[in-house]
Amino acid sequence: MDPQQFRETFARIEQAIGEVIVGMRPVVRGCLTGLVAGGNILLEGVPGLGKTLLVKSVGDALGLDFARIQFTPDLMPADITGTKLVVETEDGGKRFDLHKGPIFHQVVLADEVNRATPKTQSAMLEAMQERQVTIVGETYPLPKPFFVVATQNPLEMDGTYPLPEAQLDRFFFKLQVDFPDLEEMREIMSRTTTNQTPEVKPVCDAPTLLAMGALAREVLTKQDVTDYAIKLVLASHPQRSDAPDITKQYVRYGASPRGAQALLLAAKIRALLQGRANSSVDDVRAVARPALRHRVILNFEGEAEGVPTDRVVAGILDSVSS
Amino acid sequence: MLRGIESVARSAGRAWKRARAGSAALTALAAALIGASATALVLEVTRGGLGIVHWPWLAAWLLLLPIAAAVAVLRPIPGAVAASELDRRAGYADRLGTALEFAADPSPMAALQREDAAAFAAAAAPAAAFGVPWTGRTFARLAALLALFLLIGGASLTWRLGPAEPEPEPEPTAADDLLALIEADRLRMEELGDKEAVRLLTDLERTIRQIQAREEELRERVARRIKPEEDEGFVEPELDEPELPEELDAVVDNDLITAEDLERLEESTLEQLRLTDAETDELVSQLFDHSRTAQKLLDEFEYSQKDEIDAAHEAHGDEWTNPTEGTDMRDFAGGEDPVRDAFGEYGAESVDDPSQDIQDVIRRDLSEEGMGEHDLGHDKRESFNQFLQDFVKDVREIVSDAAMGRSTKDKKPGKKNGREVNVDPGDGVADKSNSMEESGFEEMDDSKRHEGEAPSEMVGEGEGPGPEQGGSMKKGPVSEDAMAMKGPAGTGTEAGASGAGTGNPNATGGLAALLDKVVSPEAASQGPLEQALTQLAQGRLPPEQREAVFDRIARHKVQAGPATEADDVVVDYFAEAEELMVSNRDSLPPLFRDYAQSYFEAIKPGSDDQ
Repeated sequence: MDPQQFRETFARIEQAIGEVIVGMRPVVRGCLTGLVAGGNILLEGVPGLGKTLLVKSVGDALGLDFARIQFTPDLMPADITGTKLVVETEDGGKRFDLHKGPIFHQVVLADEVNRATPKTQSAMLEAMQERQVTIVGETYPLPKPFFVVATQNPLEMDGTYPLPEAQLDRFFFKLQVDFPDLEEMREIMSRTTTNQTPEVKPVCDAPTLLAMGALAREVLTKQDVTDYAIKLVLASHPQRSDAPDITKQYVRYGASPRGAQALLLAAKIRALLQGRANSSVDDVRAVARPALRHRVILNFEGEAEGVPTDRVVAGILDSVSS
Repeated sequence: MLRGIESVARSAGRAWKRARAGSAALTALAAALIGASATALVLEVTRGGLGIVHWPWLAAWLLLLPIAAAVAVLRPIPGAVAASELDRRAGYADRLGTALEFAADPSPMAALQREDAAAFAAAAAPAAAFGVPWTGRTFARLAALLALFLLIGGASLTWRLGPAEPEPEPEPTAADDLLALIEADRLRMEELGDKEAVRLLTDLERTIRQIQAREEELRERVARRIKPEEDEGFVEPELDEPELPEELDAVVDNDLITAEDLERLEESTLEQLRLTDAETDELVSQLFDHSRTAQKLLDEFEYSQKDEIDAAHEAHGDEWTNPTEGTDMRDFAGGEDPVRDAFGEYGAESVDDPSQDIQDVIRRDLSEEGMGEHDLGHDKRESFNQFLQDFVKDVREIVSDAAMGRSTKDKKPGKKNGREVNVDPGDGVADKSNSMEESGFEEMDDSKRHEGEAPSEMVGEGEGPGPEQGGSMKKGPVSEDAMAMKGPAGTGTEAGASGAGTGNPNATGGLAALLDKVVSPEAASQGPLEQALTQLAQGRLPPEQREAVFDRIARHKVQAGPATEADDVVVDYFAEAEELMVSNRDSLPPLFRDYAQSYFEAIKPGSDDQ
């Protein structure tokens, strides 16, 4: 695959998803970017905006099998990973058979992931990062490619369990699903209130997606750009003396090295999408918000004042020069 | 492909240097204008000169331009850095910089990237990307700075080179007034046709103008003679003596006082003020006589006091010891007060203040005669004070007259300062108006004086008490003056001569020398005692200080023992107390007697406890 094919394939996927999803182009592009990079995506938005539909459409467009897990407080880890059941063999004997959970799909939608208990949430950590699960002492690899797309509702906080920082850091992007505007609403109404049900046709397959990911990692990034990504991450740590004032004021803990990795990988994909074989500082700046917003943990002052993390990231971008 | 990128990078580097040089020059120009303006302002305020001293400073500031430009041009710029800067300025998204950085990368992606970068490099315009920001705002700022500089510099030049203030017109002098009058008269004479008068007036006007010119020239010369003292670096020019008309020379020679004239006048005045040997001898003699008079009076006091002390010793026997010795003060602390007991036996009602009670006892038992003696002692003290005041005044007058060149022999007796002054140096203080009688001085009682006896220390070669001395020191009726001044207390005596003849002033003793020093104009400085004497002569000395002065005078004269009227009074008191204690020896306890002795010892003049 060459960059031209990359761009064409990417465009086809976006177009296929666009057959179902109205608007949300940044979210779709971010979601696809994360999937190409091999990362997991966290979608945040109020109910009814089409998050589940978006994820299902992405899976359909990519030609990947899709599973949806509705996270509830009584959801058990085994309900996600699966378990071994005692089954009777034909010869009358008994044996343990693995009953795979929904995690054994290529695209897993963890809907309202913050409603499950931390124990259940942590069951996904190994799957998200190691691409494998351990069931009754036995480790099973997950299919490739494997993506977890989680959603959470930012409004209904009662009875929820906020994702721990370790789990948040495992999401490549955190995408904000905004409310559609008037034109988008009209389109949504026209598509969903008739007998015609749009379907997403697969325009890509798993090997192609993996090839796209491999190509993206070949994009050249000169040292200045890498340094800039590192500077951004370091600037999110309030303990550093050169941290900007907004970081020192509102941030409790900054982004991890995974944040810098996400910045550079996303920058490379963006460069490819723009027809370049090299990433630039502008690419890094463009992907900084979805890559860092969930990795910047606000302190009490930030939480009390309701400071959005996007504002903190914007302040960091303004204070760090290339 | 790569060479194209590198070429563009080099071009970008050169363009960047030019841009930096231009920007640096622009900044340096702004800094030079600001610095030059500030320098001009500071120098103008501090030194007040722009045209001469400011331009080098401005040139120094303007040197910033080539320096900054040279630094900007000479500073090397790597190709990768220039390419990255070109990427940033031209919006090439790091294509050129990445291509140069990964120039050796053989991967397809790197080749693809270089190809992409070369395409952009081919279309790059480094000169446009690195243009000097000659924006309108930049020019506006420069124009503002230039206006500021011109404003300050122009104001300074205007201030310095502007029209000078007109000098004030000289005030018209008497010569100007005279010239105006001459001019008016000359016009009038011309109208009248008196040519001779016109000629004379014209000559007079010319002469006056010549005098004016000469006066101005002399003023300048005087000013030049004063300047060298103010300015050490000034070299006095040697002026040629101007040639003046004869009449003007006469005016100058006759009317102007030169420095030489002043010197001669000063020497002449000093010569007139200098005393001859005869005048000096006369002055010393007068001073000596006055000093001897005062000394003799003090001797009289001394002798009378000695008599009283002897009488006290005779009355007290050989028990004259320190009253405080052997006194056990614990007797007072035991609640049993012997003094109180003694007064209780004596009929005293209250003994809160033992010393006051003792005085009451003494006064109560003093006879009328004793009280009279007590008052007489006070009168003596006051009389002696007055005598000393008059004496010092007389001495001052003598010295003053001598300094003014007048001899006392030429002075006519007359009223001076409200009294007659007549000094006869040969006869001592024989003038009645001088001091004693007039001032109410009363000579001592005969019983307290050794008639005709002079102290051995006073008798020098060829001197001694004259025949009038002893006779004059007799007790007599109170003079009218004394009565008028002192009232009915005491008796008066005629003032006697202090002695005849003259002698060495040094032989008159410490008092004479002291007084000579006081009244001598040659005394460079005065000590506390001399100052007190001066105040005493002026009547400004308080009574308590007068007592101290008398004590000091006596100590200068007498080596030991009391020698003042205060001592006399104390001795009187003490004698009466001794007599009282002796007569009442049986009724007074020994401790009380010692207490009384201690009291009188304490109040004795010269004692530290008084």
